[in-house]
Amino acid sequence: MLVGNGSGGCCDCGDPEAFHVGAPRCGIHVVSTPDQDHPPVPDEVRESIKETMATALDFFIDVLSTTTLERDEVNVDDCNQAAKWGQLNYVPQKDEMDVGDWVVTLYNDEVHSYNDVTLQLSRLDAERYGEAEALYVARVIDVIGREPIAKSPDQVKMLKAADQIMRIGLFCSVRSERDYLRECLAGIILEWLVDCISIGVSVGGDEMILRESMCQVLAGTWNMGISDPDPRVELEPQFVRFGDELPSDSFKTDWSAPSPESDKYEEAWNESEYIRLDWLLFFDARLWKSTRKCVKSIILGCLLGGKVEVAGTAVDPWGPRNWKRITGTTNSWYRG
Amino acid sequence: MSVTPTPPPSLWARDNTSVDDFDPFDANLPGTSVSERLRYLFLRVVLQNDRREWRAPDCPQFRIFALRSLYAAIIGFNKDNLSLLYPNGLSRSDTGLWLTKAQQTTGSPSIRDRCCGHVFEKGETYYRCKFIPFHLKCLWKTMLCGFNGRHLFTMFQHSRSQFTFRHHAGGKRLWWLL
Repeated sequence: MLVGNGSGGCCDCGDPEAFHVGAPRCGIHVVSTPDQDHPPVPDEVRESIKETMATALDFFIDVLSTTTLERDEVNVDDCNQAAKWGQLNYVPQKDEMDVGDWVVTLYNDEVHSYNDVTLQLSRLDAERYGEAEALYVARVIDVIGREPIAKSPDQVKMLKAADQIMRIGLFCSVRSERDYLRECLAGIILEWLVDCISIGVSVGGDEMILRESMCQVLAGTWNMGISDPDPRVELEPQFVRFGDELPSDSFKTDWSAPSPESDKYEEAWNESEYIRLDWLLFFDARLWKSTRKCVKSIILGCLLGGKVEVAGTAVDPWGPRNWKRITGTTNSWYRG
Repeated sequence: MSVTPTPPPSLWARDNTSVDDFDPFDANLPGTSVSERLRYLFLRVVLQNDRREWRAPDCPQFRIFALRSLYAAIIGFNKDNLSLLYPNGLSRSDTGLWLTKAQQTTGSPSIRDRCCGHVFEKGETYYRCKFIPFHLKCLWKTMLCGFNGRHLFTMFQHSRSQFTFRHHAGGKRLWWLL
Protein backbone atom coordinates (compact mmCIF):
# COMPACT_ATOMS: atom_id res chain seq x y z
CA MET A 1 0.00 0.00 0.00
CA LEU A 2 1.45 3.34 -1.04
CA VAL A 3 0.43 6.95 -0.61
CA GLY A 4 0.21 8.94 -3.87
CA ASN A 5 2.20 12.12 -4.32
CA GLY A 6 -0.82 14.33 -4.88
CA SER A 7 -0.44 14.87 -8.58
CA GLY A 8 -4.19 14.69 -8.86
CA GLY A 9 -6.58 12.51 -10.72
CA CYS A 10 -10.02 11.13 -11.17
CA CYS A 11 -11.45 7.72 -11.88
CA ASP A 12 -10.93 6.80 -15.52
CA CYS A 13 -13.46 4.02 -15.61
CA GLY A 14 -15.53 4.24 -18.77
CA ASP A 15 -13.24 6.69 -20.55
CA PRO A 16 -12.55 5.02 -23.91
CA GLU A 17 -9.14 6.68 -24.12
CA ALA A 18 -8.03 5.18 -20.83
CA PHE A 19 -8.40 1.56 -21.85
CA HIS A 20 -6.59 -0.52 -24.40
CA VAL A 21 -8.71 -2.12 -27.07
CA GLY A 22 -9.81 -5.47 -25.71
CA ALA A 23 -8.93 -4.61 -22.12
CA PRO A 24 -11.46 -5.75 -19.52
CA ARG A 25 -14.22 -3.29 -18.66
CA CYS A 26 -16.06 -3.07 -15.40
CA GLY A 27 -19.54 -3.62 -16.81
CA ILE A 28 -20.94 -0.48 -15.17
CA HIS A 29 -19.67 2.26 -17.44
CA VAL A 30 -19.24 0.37 -20.66
CA VAL A 31 -22.77 -0.07 -21.91
CA SER A 32 -22.21 2.23 -24.85
CA THR A 33 -18.47 2.00 -25.18
CA PRO A 34 -17.62 -1.48 -26.33
CA ASP A 35 -14.91 -1.68 -28.93
CA GLN A 36 -17.41 -1.54 -31.71
CA ASP A 37 -16.43 -1.39 -35.33
CA HIS A 38 -18.04 1.70 -36.78
CA PRO A 39 -18.04 2.32 -40.50
CA PRO A 40 -15.15 4.67 -41.23
CA VAL A 41 -15.96 8.36 -41.44
CA PRO A 42 -15.92 9.44 -45.11
CA ASP A 43 -12.79 11.27 -46.18
CA GLU A 44 -14.74 14.30 -47.34
CA VAL A 45 -16.21 14.67 -43.84
CA ARG A 46 -12.73 14.42 -42.31
CA GLU A 47 -11.58 17.20 -44.60
CA SER A 48 -14.68 19.27 -43.87
CA ILE A 49 -14.07 19.00 -40.13
CA LYS A 50 -10.53 20.30 -40.50
CA GLU A 51 -11.51 23.05 -42.92
CA THR A 52 -14.37 24.19 -40.70
CA MET A 53 -12.25 24.27 -37.56
CA ALA A 54 -9.45 26.10 -39.40
CA THR A 55 -11.85 28.68 -40.87
CA ALA A 56 -13.57 29.24 -37.54
CA LEU A 57 -10.28 29.64 -35.64
CA ASP A 58 -8.85 31.94 -38.30
CA PHE A 59 -11.96 34.10 -37.99
CA PHE A 60 -11.51 34.12 -34.21
CA ILE A 61 -7.89 35.26 -34.49
CA ASP A 62 -8.77 37.88 -37.13
CA VAL A 63 -11.45 39.40 -34.93
CA LEU A 64 -9.56 39.31 -31.64
CA SER A 65 -6.44 40.80 -33.22
CA THR A 66 -8.01 44.23 -33.32
CA THR A 67 -9.48 44.26 -29.83
CA THR A 68 -8.88 47.21 -27.54
CA LEU A 69 -6.43 46.30 -24.82
CA GLU A 70 -5.67 49.43 -22.81
CA ARG A 71 -7.47 52.49 -21.59
CA ASP A 72 -5.16 54.68 -23.67
CA GLU A 73 -6.51 53.05 -26.82
CA VAL A 74 -10.07 54.22 -26.15
CA ASN A 75 -9.96 57.38 -28.27
CA VAL A 76 -11.28 58.50 -31.63
CA ASP A 77 -8.14 57.77 -33.62
CA ASP A 78 -7.50 54.30 -32.23
CA CYS A 79 -11.17 53.29 -32.47
CA ASN A 80 -11.35 54.34 -36.11
CA GLN A 81 -8.01 52.69 -36.79
CA ALA A 82 -9.21 49.44 -35.20
CA ALA A 83 -12.39 49.52 -37.30
CA LYS A 84 -10.30 49.93 -40.43
CA TRP A 85 -7.81 47.32 -39.32
CA GLY A 86 -10.66 44.89 -38.64
CA GLN A 87 -11.81 44.87 -42.27
CA LEU A 88 -11.72 41.30 -43.53
CA ASN A 89 -10.04 40.79 -46.88
CA TYR A 90 -12.31 37.96 -48.00
CA VAL A 91 -15.30 40.28 -48.12
CA PRO A 92 -15.89 42.99 -50.74
CA GLN A 93 -14.37 46.16 -49.28
CA LYS A 94 -17.53 48.19 -49.86
CA ASP A 95 -19.38 45.81 -47.52
CA GLU A 96 -16.77 46.34 -44.82
CA MET A 97 -17.29 50.10 -44.81
CA ASP A 98 -20.58 49.72 -42.93
CA VAL A 99 -19.45 49.42 -39.32
CA GLY A 100 -22.82 50.21 -37.74
CA ASP A 101 -23.11 51.99 -34.41
CA TRP A 102 -20.50 52.21 -31.67
CA VAL A 103 -20.82 49.88 -28.69
CA VAL A 104 -19.41 50.44 -25.19
CA THR A 105 -18.61 47.15 -23.46
CA LEU A 106 -17.81 46.97 -19.76
CA TYR A 107 -15.37 44.27 -18.60
CA ASN A 108 -15.05 42.68 -15.18
CA ASP A 109 -11.98 42.90 -13.00
CA GLU A 110 -10.81 41.59 -9.65
CA VAL A 111 -10.94 44.95 -7.90
CA HIS A 112 -14.35 46.55 -8.23
CA SER A 113 -17.51 45.57 -6.40
CA TYR A 114 -21.10 45.26 -7.57
CA ASN A 115 -21.80 48.63 -5.98
CA ASP A 116 -19.07 50.30 -8.02
CA VAL A 117 -20.55 48.95 -11.23
CA THR A 118 -24.19 49.69 -10.44
CA LEU A 119 -23.32 53.23 -9.35
CA GLN A 120 -21.44 53.93 -12.57
CA LEU A 121 -24.23 52.46 -14.68
CA SER A 122 -26.89 54.58 -13.01
CA ARG A 123 -24.70 57.66 -13.53
CA LEU A 124 -24.33 56.73 -17.17
CA ASP A 125 -28.03 56.36 -17.89
CA ALA A 126 -30.36 56.58 -14.90
CA GLU A 127 -33.41 55.91 -17.02
CA ARG A 128 -32.10 52.66 -18.51
CA TYR A 129 -30.22 51.44 -15.47
CA GLY A 130 -32.52 51.45 -12.48
CA GLU A 131 -31.42 49.54 -9.40
CA ALA A 132 -32.71 46.18 -10.66
CA GLU A 133 -31.33 46.59 -14.18
CA ALA A 134 -27.91 47.76 -12.99
CA LEU A 135 -27.70 44.81 -10.62
CA TYR A 136 -28.59 42.42 -13.46
CA VAL A 137 -25.87 43.84 -15.69
CA ALA A 138 -23.33 43.72 -12.85
CA ARG A 139 -24.14 40.04 -12.33
CA VAL A 140 -23.80 39.26 -16.02
CA ILE A 141 -20.42 40.99 -16.08
CA ASP A 142 -19.36 39.00 -13.04
CA VAL A 143 -20.41 35.68 -14.59
CA ILE A 144 -19.69 36.15 -18.30
CA GLY A 145 -16.92 38.70 -17.98
CA ARG A 146 -18.35 41.55 -20.04
CA GLU A 147 -21.59 43.14 -21.24
CA PRO A 148 -22.50 45.90 -23.71
CA ILE A 149 -23.82 48.86 -21.75
CA ALA A 150 -24.41 51.54 -24.38
CA LYS A 151 -24.82 51.76 -28.14
CA SER A 152 -25.13 54.78 -30.38
CA PRO A 153 -24.12 56.02 -33.84
CA ASP A 154 -22.48 58.98 -32.06
CA GLN A 155 -18.89 57.85 -31.54
CA VAL A 156 -17.88 60.87 -29.44
CA LYS A 157 -20.82 60.33 -27.08
CA MET A 158 -19.83 56.69 -26.62
CA LEU A 159 -16.22 57.60 -25.95
CA LYS A 160 -17.35 60.09 -23.32
CA ALA A 161 -19.54 57.43 -21.73
CA ALA A 162 -16.63 55.00 -21.65
CA ASP A 163 -14.36 57.66 -20.19
CA GLN A 164 -16.87 58.35 -17.44
CA ILE A 165 -17.06 54.66 -16.54
CA MET A 166 -13.28 54.28 -16.58
CA ARG A 167 -12.71 57.15 -14.14
CA ILE A 168 -12.86 54.75 -11.20
CA GLY A 169 -10.49 52.27 -12.86
CA LEU A 170 -13.00 50.02 -14.61
CA PHE A 171 -12.17 49.07 -18.19
CA CYS A 172 -14.45 49.63 -21.19
CA SER A 173 -13.91 49.07 -24.85
CA VAL A 174 -15.52 51.11 -27.61
CA ARG A 175 -15.83 49.06 -30.76
CA SER A 176 -17.88 49.31 -33.89
CA GLU A 177 -21.10 47.31 -33.89
CA ARG A 178 -19.67 45.18 -36.70
CA ASP A 179 -16.59 44.23 -34.68
CA TYR A 180 -18.50 43.78 -31.42
CA LEU A 181 -20.88 41.31 -33.06
CA ARG A 182 -17.95 39.49 -34.61
CA GLU A 183 -16.42 39.19 -31.14
CA CYS A 184 -19.70 37.68 -29.90
CA LEU A 185 -19.60 35.18 -32.75
CA ALA A 186 -15.97 34.40 -31.90
CA GLY A 187 -17.11 33.58 -28.37
CA ILE A 188 -19.71 31.15 -29.73
CA ILE A 189 -17.04 29.57 -31.93
CA LEU A 190 -14.93 28.80 -28.87
CA GLU A 191 -17.93 27.29 -27.07
CA TRP A 192 -18.60 25.21 -30.16
CA LEU A 193 -15.02 23.95 -30.24
CA VAL A 194 -15.26 22.92 -26.59
CA ASP A 195 -18.51 21.11 -27.40
CA CYS A 196 -16.83 19.28 -30.29
CA ILE A 197 -13.91 17.99 -28.22
CA SER A 198 -15.94 16.93 -25.20
CA ILE A 199 -15.70 13.33 -24.08
CA GLY A 200 -18.36 11.17 -25.65
CA VAL A 201 -18.99 13.38 -28.67
CA SER A 202 -18.51 11.42 -31.86
CA VAL A 203 -18.90 11.71 -35.61
CA GLY A 204 -20.48 8.54 -36.87
CA GLY A 205 -19.28 6.69 -33.76
CA ASP A 206 -15.67 7.89 -34.03
CA GLU A 207 -14.94 9.65 -30.75
CA MET A 208 -11.41 10.76 -31.60
CA ILE A 209 -11.82 12.41 -34.97
CA LEU A 210 -12.90 15.82 -33.69
CA ARG A 211 -10.15 16.00 -31.10
CA GLU A 212 -7.50 14.84 -33.54
CA SER A 213 -8.63 17.40 -36.09
CA MET A 214 -8.61 20.09 -33.41
CA CYS A 215 -5.00 19.27 -32.52
CA GLN A 216 -3.95 19.43 -36.15
CA VAL A 217 -5.75 22.71 -36.73
CA LEU A 218 -4.27 24.33 -33.63
CA ALA A 219 -0.82 23.26 -34.77
CA GLY A 220 -1.38 24.85 -38.20
CA THR A 221 -0.55 28.43 -39.12
CA TRP A 222 -3.03 31.28 -39.13
CA ASN A 223 -4.48 32.09 -42.54
CA MET A 224 -4.72 35.84 -41.93
CA GLY A 225 -7.91 37.58 -43.04
CA ILE A 226 -6.98 41.12 -41.92
CA SER A 227 -4.37 43.51 -43.24
CA ASP A 228 -1.76 43.03 -40.49
CA PRO A 229 -1.19 40.82 -37.45
CA ASP A 230 -1.41 42.48 -34.06
CA PRO A 231 1.86 44.33 -33.45
CA ARG A 232 1.15 44.48 -29.74
CA VAL A 233 2.06 40.83 -29.25
CA GLU A 234 5.50 41.26 -30.80
CA LEU A 235 8.65 41.87 -28.86
CA GLU A 236 10.63 43.28 -31.76
CA PRO A 237 11.59 46.96 -31.26
CA GLN A 238 9.87 48.23 -34.41
CA PHE A 239 6.50 47.00 -33.16
CA VAL A 240 6.58 48.39 -29.63
CA ARG A 241 4.02 51.16 -29.19
CA PHE A 242 3.20 53.87 -26.70
CA GLY A 243 6.79 54.31 -25.59
CA ASP A 244 7.00 50.95 -23.85
CA GLU A 245 10.37 49.93 -22.58
CA LEU A 246 12.11 47.50 -24.85
CA PRO A 247 12.67 44.03 -23.50
CA SER A 248 16.23 43.38 -22.52
CA ASP A 249 18.49 41.07 -24.47
CA SER A 250 18.56 38.63 -21.59
CA PHE A 251 14.77 38.42 -21.74
CA LYS A 252 14.94 37.49 -25.39
CA THR A 253 17.50 34.77 -24.89
CA ASP A 254 15.68 33.19 -21.96
CA TRP A 255 13.73 31.04 -24.36
CA SER A 256 16.66 28.89 -25.36
CA ALA A 257 15.90 26.17 -22.86
CA PRO A 258 17.20 22.64 -23.31
CA SER A 259 14.76 20.11 -24.62
CA PRO A 260 13.93 17.30 -22.22
CA GLU A 261 15.36 14.57 -24.39
CA SER A 262 18.81 15.96 -25.07
CA ASP A 263 21.25 18.72 -24.38
CA LYS A 264 20.37 20.46 -27.62
CA TYR A 265 18.89 23.91 -27.36
CA GLU A 266 15.61 24.80 -28.98
CA GLU A 267 15.85 26.99 -32.02
CA ALA A 268 15.36 30.72 -31.63
CA TRP A 269 11.79 31.93 -31.84
CA ASN A 270 10.73 32.62 -35.37
CA GLU A 271 7.71 34.77 -36.02
CA SER A 272 6.83 32.96 -39.20
CA GLU A 273 6.40 29.77 -37.22
CA TYR A 274 3.58 31.06 -35.02
CA ILE A 275 0.82 28.52 -34.95
CA ARG A 276 -2.87 29.13 -34.18
CA LEU A 277 -2.33 27.91 -30.63
CA ASP A 278 0.29 30.61 -30.11
CA TRP A 279 -2.19 33.31 -31.09
CA LEU A 280 -4.85 31.79 -28.87
CA LEU A 281 -2.48 31.99 -25.93
CA PHE A 282 -1.25 35.47 -26.83
CA PHE A 283 -4.86 36.65 -26.80
CA ASP A 284 -5.54 35.58 -23.24
CA ALA A 285 -5.54 39.18 -22.01
CA ARG A 286 -8.17 40.27 -24.51
CA LEU A 287 -10.63 37.46 -23.82
CA TRP A 288 -13.36 37.62 -21.24
CA LYS A 289 -14.18 35.21 -18.44
CA SER A 290 -16.33 32.71 -20.34
CA THR A 291 -14.05 32.55 -23.38
CA ARG A 292 -10.98 32.20 -21.18
CA LYS A 293 -12.57 29.11 -19.64
CA CYS A 294 -13.15 27.75 -23.15
CA VAL A 295 -9.48 28.21 -24.06
CA LYS A 296 -8.44 26.35 -20.91
CA SER A 297 -10.83 23.54 -21.74
CA ILE A 298 -9.45 23.29 -25.26
CA ILE A 299 -5.86 23.17 -24.07
CA LEU A 300 -6.53 20.67 -21.31
CA GLY A 301 -8.95 18.49 -23.20
CA CYS A 302 -7.25 18.50 -26.54
CA LEU A 303 -3.60 19.42 -26.43
CA LEU A 304 -2.10 18.58 -23.08
CA GLY A 305 -4.27 15.52 -22.91
CA GLY A 306 -4.44 14.79 -26.63
CA LYS A 307 -2.55 12.27 -28.62
CA VAL A 308 0.88 13.77 -29.04
CA GLU A 309 1.60 12.21 -32.41
CA VAL A 310 -1.47 13.84 -33.94
CA ALA A 311 -0.25 17.40 -33.78
CA GLY A 312 3.31 16.54 -34.70
CA THR A 313 6.33 18.27 -33.28
CA ALA A 314 4.57 21.60 -32.74
CA VAL A 315 2.98 20.24 -29.58
CA ASP A 316 5.06 18.12 -27.27
CA PRO A 317 4.18 16.12 -24.19
CA TRP A 318 5.30 18.98 -21.98
CA GLY A 319 2.62 21.28 -23.28
CA PRO A 320 2.56 24.05 -25.84
CA ARG A 321 6.04 24.96 -26.92
CA ASN A 322 5.65 28.58 -26.03
CA TRP A 323 4.82 27.87 -22.41
CA LYS A 324 8.11 29.38 -21.31
CA ARG A 325 7.50 32.47 -23.37
CA ILE A 326 4.01 33.00 -22.05
CA THR A 327 4.89 32.62 -18.40
CA GLY A 328 8.35 34.15 -18.57
CA THR A 329 9.65 31.39 -16.34
CA THR A 330 11.77 28.32 -16.64
CA ASN A 331 10.36 25.20 -15.10
CA SER A 332 12.59 23.11 -12.92
CA TRP A 333 10.41 20.06 -13.52
CA TYR A 334 10.91 20.52 -17.23
CA ARG A 335 14.63 19.87 -17.06
CA GLY A 336 14.42 16.15 -16.33
CA MET B 1 -35.92 44.70 0.79
CA SER B 2 -33.74 42.93 -1.74
CA VAL B 3 -33.96 43.94 -5.39
CA THR B 4 -34.69 41.30 -8.02
CA PRO B 5 -32.26 41.70 -10.92
CA THR B 6 -34.11 42.54 -14.12
CA PRO B 7 -32.58 42.62 -17.59
CA PRO B 8 -32.61 46.09 -19.16
CA PRO B 9 -34.17 46.44 -22.62
CA SER B 10 -31.92 45.16 -25.38
CA LEU B 11 -29.66 47.66 -27.11
CA TRP B 12 -30.66 46.08 -30.40
CA ALA B 13 -34.00 45.95 -32.19
CA ARG B 14 -36.08 42.82 -31.79
CA ASP B 15 -35.24 40.13 -34.35
CA ASN B 16 -38.28 38.56 -35.94
CA THR B 17 -36.45 36.17 -38.24
CA SER B 18 -37.85 32.66 -37.98
CA VAL B 19 -35.25 29.97 -37.33
CA ASP B 20 -37.13 27.76 -39.81
CA ASP B 21 -36.32 30.19 -42.61
CA PHE B 22 -32.63 29.39 -42.36
CA ASP B 23 -31.36 26.31 -44.16
CA PRO B 24 -27.56 25.93 -43.99
CA PHE B 25 -27.78 23.14 -46.57
CA ASP B 26 -29.27 25.42 -49.20
CA ALA B 27 -27.58 24.54 -52.47
CA ASN B 28 -27.80 28.16 -53.61
CA LEU B 29 -25.42 29.43 -50.95
CA PRO B 30 -22.54 31.36 -52.53
CA GLY B 31 -19.12 29.76 -52.53
CA THR B 32 -17.74 26.44 -53.63
CA SER B 33 -15.60 25.37 -50.68
CA VAL B 34 -16.62 24.74 -47.09
CA SER B 35 -14.65 27.76 -45.86
CA GLU B 36 -16.20 30.13 -48.41
CA ARG B 37 -19.70 29.04 -47.51
CA LEU B 38 -19.00 29.21 -43.80
CA ARG B 39 -17.59 32.72 -44.07
CA TYR B 40 -20.63 33.81 -46.04
CA LEU B 41 -22.93 32.37 -43.37
CA PHE B 42 -20.95 34.04 -40.59
CA LEU B 43 -20.96 37.47 -42.14
CA ARG B 44 -24.22 37.60 -44.04
CA VAL B 45 -26.57 35.32 -42.13
CA VAL B 46 -25.45 35.10 -38.51
CA LEU B 47 -24.37 38.71 -38.10
CA GLN B 48 -26.92 40.36 -40.38
CA ASN B 49 -30.53 39.73 -41.28
CA ASP B 50 -31.86 39.64 -44.84
CA ARG B 51 -32.25 43.45 -44.80
CA ARG B 52 -28.51 43.80 -44.03
CA GLU B 53 -29.25 45.08 -40.55
CA TRP B 54 -27.01 43.93 -37.71
CA ARG B 55 -28.57 41.07 -35.80
CA ALA B 56 -29.04 41.35 -32.03
CA PRO B 57 -26.36 39.24 -30.29
CA ASP B 58 -28.70 38.57 -27.36
CA CYS B 59 -31.44 37.02 -29.50
CA PRO B 60 -31.67 33.21 -29.79
CA GLN B 61 -31.42 33.39 -33.58
CA PHE B 62 -27.83 34.65 -33.36
CA ARG B 63 -26.64 31.57 -31.49
CA ILE B 64 -28.85 29.08 -33.35
CA PHE B 65 -27.75 30.31 -36.78
CA ALA B 66 -24.09 30.25 -35.72
CA LEU B 67 -24.30 26.70 -34.40
CA ARG B 68 -26.29 25.43 -37.37
CA SER B 69 -23.74 26.95 -39.73
CA LEU B 70 -20.82 25.39 -37.91
CA TYR B 71 -22.34 21.93 -37.64
CA ALA B 72 -23.50 22.00 -41.26
CA ALA B 73 -19.96 22.97 -42.27
CA ILE B 74 -18.23 20.06 -40.52
CA ILE B 75 -20.32 17.59 -42.49
CA GLY B 76 -19.48 19.38 -45.72
CA PHE B 77 -22.91 21.06 -46.11
CA ASN B 78 -24.19 17.65 -47.12
CA LYS B 79 -27.54 16.90 -45.53
CA ASP B 80 -27.04 13.17 -46.05
CA ASN B 81 -24.25 13.27 -43.44
CA LEU B 82 -26.46 14.86 -40.80
CA SER B 83 -27.06 11.54 -39.07
CA LEU B 84 -23.33 11.32 -38.31
CA LEU B 85 -23.83 14.16 -35.82
CA TYR B 86 -27.53 14.10 -35.01
CA PRO B 87 -28.98 10.59 -35.15
CA ASN B 88 -32.34 12.08 -34.17
CA GLY B 89 -32.27 14.95 -36.64
CA LEU B 90 -31.45 18.64 -36.34
CA SER B 91 -32.95 20.43 -33.36
CA ARG B 92 -34.81 23.73 -33.62
CA SER B 93 -33.67 24.82 -30.18
CA ASP B 94 -30.38 26.29 -29.07
CA THR B 95 -29.56 23.63 -26.48
CA GLY B 96 -30.45 20.70 -28.73
CA LEU B 97 -27.81 21.77 -31.24
CA TRP B 98 -24.88 21.15 -28.90
CA LEU B 99 -23.45 17.71 -29.60
CA THR B 100 -22.92 17.00 -25.92
CA LYS B 101 -26.70 17.33 -25.49
CA ALA B 102 -27.85 15.85 -28.78
CA GLN B 103 -25.75 12.71 -28.58
CA GLN B 104 -26.85 11.95 -25.02
CA THR B 105 -30.48 11.72 -26.01
CA THR B 106 -30.19 9.07 -28.66
CA GLY B 107 -31.19 6.19 -26.41
CA SER B 108 -27.64 5.40 -25.39
CA PRO B 109 -26.50 6.03 -21.83
CA SER B 110 -25.29 9.51 -20.98
CA ILE B 111 -21.65 10.47 -20.57
CA ARG B 112 -22.13 10.18 -16.84
CA ASP B 113 -23.13 6.57 -17.41
CA ARG B 114 -20.06 5.98 -19.50
CA CYS B 115 -17.38 7.81 -17.53
CA CYS B 116 -17.11 7.63 -13.78
CA GLY B 117 -15.00 10.79 -13.37
CA HIS B 118 -14.85 10.51 -9.59
CA VAL B 119 -12.25 12.99 -8.33
CA PHE B 120 -10.02 11.40 -5.73
CA GLU B 121 -9.86 12.88 -2.30
CA LYS B 122 -6.90 12.94 -0.01
CA GLY B 123 -6.21 9.52 1.38
CA GLU B 124 -8.66 7.74 -0.88
CA THR B 125 -7.63 4.34 -2.19
CA TYR B 126 -7.44 3.91 -5.92
CA TYR B 127 -6.63 0.98 -8.16
CA ARG B 128 -4.38 0.39 -11.10
CA CYS B 129 -4.38 -2.64 -13.35
CA LYS B 130 -1.57 -4.08 -15.44
CA PHE B 131 -4.05 -4.78 -18.21
CA ILE B 132 -4.69 -1.06 -18.63
CA PRO B 133 -1.25 0.40 -18.26
CA PHE B 134 -1.30 3.96 -19.62
CA HIS B 135 -3.91 6.62 -20.10
CA LEU B 136 -3.59 8.08 -23.58
CA LYS B 137 -4.66 11.51 -22.37
CA CYS B 138 -2.39 11.92 -19.43
CA LEU B 139 0.74 9.94 -20.07
CA TRP B 140 0.34 8.25 -16.76
CA LYS B 141 -1.39 5.18 -15.59
CA THR B 142 -5.10 4.71 -15.70
CA MET B 143 -6.63 4.95 -12.26
CA LEU B 144 -9.86 3.47 -11.02
CA CYS B 145 -11.81 4.42 -7.94
CA GLY B 146 -12.46 1.90 -5.20
CA PHE B 147 -15.90 0.92 -6.41
CA ASN B 148 -14.95 0.34 -10.05
CA GLY B 149 -11.60 -1.19 -9.16
CA ARG B 150 -13.17 -3.75 -6.86
CA HIS B 151 -15.86 -4.47 -9.42
CA LEU B 152 -13.29 -5.07 -12.14
CA PHE B 153 -11.24 -7.20 -9.78
CA THR B 154 -14.10 -9.52 -8.93
CA MET B 155 -15.56 -9.54 -12.42
CA PHE B 156 -12.45 -10.68 -14.22
CA GLN B 157 -10.84 -12.73 -11.47
CA HIS B 158 -7.62 -10.79 -11.61
CA SER B 159 -4.75 -12.09 -9.62
CA ARG B 160 -3.63 -9.82 -6.83
CA SER B 161 -0.33 -9.14 -8.55
CA GLN B 162 -2.12 -7.50 -11.48
CA PHE B 163 -3.59 -4.77 -9.30
CA THR B 164 -1.87 -2.14 -7.24
CA PHE B 165 -3.65 -0.22 -4.51
CA ARG B 166 -2.66 3.30 -3.57
CA HIS B 167 -3.78 6.06 -1.31
CA HIS B 168 -4.30 9.33 -3.10
CA ALA B 169 -3.25 12.71 -1.80
CA GLY B 170 -6.14 14.45 -3.58
CA GLY B 171 -6.45 17.21 -6.16
CA LYS B 172 -7.63 17.57 -9.72
CA ARG B 173 -5.66 16.36 -12.65
CA LEU B 174 -3.51 18.81 -14.57
CA TRP B 175 -5.15 22.03 -13.37
CA TRP B 176 -1.94 23.13 -11.73
CA LEU B 177 -0.39 23.51 -15.16
CA LEU B 178 -2.43 26.60 -15.99
